[in-house]
Amino acid sequence: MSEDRFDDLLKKAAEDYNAPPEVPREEMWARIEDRRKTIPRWARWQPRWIAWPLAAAATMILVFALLRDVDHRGDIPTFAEAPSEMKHKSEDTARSYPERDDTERDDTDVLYRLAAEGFFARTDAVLTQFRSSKGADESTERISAWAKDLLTETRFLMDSPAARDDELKLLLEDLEFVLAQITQLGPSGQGREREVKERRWIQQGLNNKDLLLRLRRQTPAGQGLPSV
Amino acid sequence: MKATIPRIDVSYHMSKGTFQEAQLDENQMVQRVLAGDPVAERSFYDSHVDRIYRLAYRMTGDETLAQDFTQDTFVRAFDRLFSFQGKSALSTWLHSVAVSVILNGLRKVKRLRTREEGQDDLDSVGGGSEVPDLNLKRSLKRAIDALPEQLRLIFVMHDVEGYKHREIAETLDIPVGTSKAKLARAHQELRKTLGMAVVSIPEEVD
Repeated sequence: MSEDRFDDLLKKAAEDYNAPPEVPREEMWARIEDRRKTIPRWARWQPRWIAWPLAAAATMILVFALLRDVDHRGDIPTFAEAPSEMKHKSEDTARSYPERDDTERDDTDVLYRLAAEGFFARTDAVLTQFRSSKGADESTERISAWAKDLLTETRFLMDSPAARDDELKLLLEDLEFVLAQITQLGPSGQGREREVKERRWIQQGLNNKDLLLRLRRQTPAGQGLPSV
Repeated sequence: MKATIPRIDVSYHMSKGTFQEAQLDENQMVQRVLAGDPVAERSFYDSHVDRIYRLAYRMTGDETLAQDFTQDTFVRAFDRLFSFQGKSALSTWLHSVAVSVILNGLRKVKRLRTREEGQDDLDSVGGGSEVPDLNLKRSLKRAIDALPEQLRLIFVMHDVEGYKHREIAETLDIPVGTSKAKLARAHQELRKTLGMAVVSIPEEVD
C-alpha cells in the first residue's frame, strides 16, 4: 500500500479515535464553582510574590529565635569561670558548667551574617524594583508590601549581633528609614502628585546615601543564596 | 491599590441553562476575571471549555477522567491567571495548563493501573508479535494508545483535533520543527504497528 493511501486511511480512522460526547458544560462548571468555593477569595488570587516574602520573614523569625537561644547559651559561666568552691564539688556538678567553645560564638556570628546577607539581597531586589517602577500602578502596592516585610526583618537584624558592626548598623538604620518611606506609598489614597513627590524624595535619599552601592558591598556577587 | 477595571458592555443571556459567549477583549477578560467578575469567569470558561474537554477526552477516552482533567485545568487556570503575561494567546496559555494537567493525570492513572493489574494494557500493543486485528479502527485505536505520550499528544492535537503546528509548538513550548518531526515519528510508529493489518484488509475502511 502506498504511503498516501495509508495516510488517507489513517486520517479517516483518526477522526473516530476516542470521539468525545457532547461537552457537559453545566455539570463541569457547577463542580468547578464548588471547588473554587472551598478556596477563600483572599487566597484564590494570592500571587506567589506574596508567599515569597512571607516565607522569608517566617524563616528569619525562626532563624533569629534559634540564634538567640544559641547566643544566650554563651551567658552560662564556663567551668573556668565557676566559683572556686564549685570546682571542688562532684564532677557531675562541674559538668553542668559546659566548657565554653570559642567556635560557638564564631558560628553564631556566621549564621547572623548569613541571615543578614540574605536580607540584603532581598532588599537590593526590592530597591531595584522600586527604582525601575514608574509608580501609580500595581507594582507600587507590591513593592510596598515587600518593603513592609523587610522592615520587620530590619528590626530583627538591628537587635542582633549582626549590628555589632558599625558599618552594618548604619546601613540597617538607613535601610529602615527608606523601607519605612516605601511602605507609605501605595493604597493610602494619596494623590498622584503627592506620590510622585514622595518617590522623588525616596530616590534622592537612595542616591545621597549611596544606599544601593553600600548594600551591594555587603552582598557577595551573584548571590542566589548567601555565602560567607 | 485596587486596579481600576474599565466598565465594558458585556451582554450575555441565559439560554437553556447556558451562557452565550460574551464578546470580551482578551486582556479585559483577564483583568475582569482577576477582579473576580463572575460574568467574565463564566465567559472565559465558555470560550475555551469545548476544546479543552475534547482534547482531554481524546487523550483519555474516558468521560470521568476527561471531566476531571477539564475541571482541574480551569480551577488551576483561575488560580494562576495572575501569571498570564499576554506573551502568547490566552488559549495557548490555557492549553499549556491543560496539557500539563492531562499528562500528569494520565501518568498517575497509568501508575495506578500498572500497580493494580501488574501490567499495563496500554503498553501491550505494538510489540509486532501480535496477531493483526481485523478491525482497522480498533487496531488504530490500540496503536495510537500505544504511542509514547508526547507523540500521542501531538498526533491527537494535529491529526485528530486539527491544531496547527504553531499552536502545538507554543503550547508545548517546543520549536515548530520539533512538532513536525514528532508527528512524522508518530506516523512512522503507527505505520510500523499497523502495516500488517492495513495490508491484509485494505478494503475495510472504504
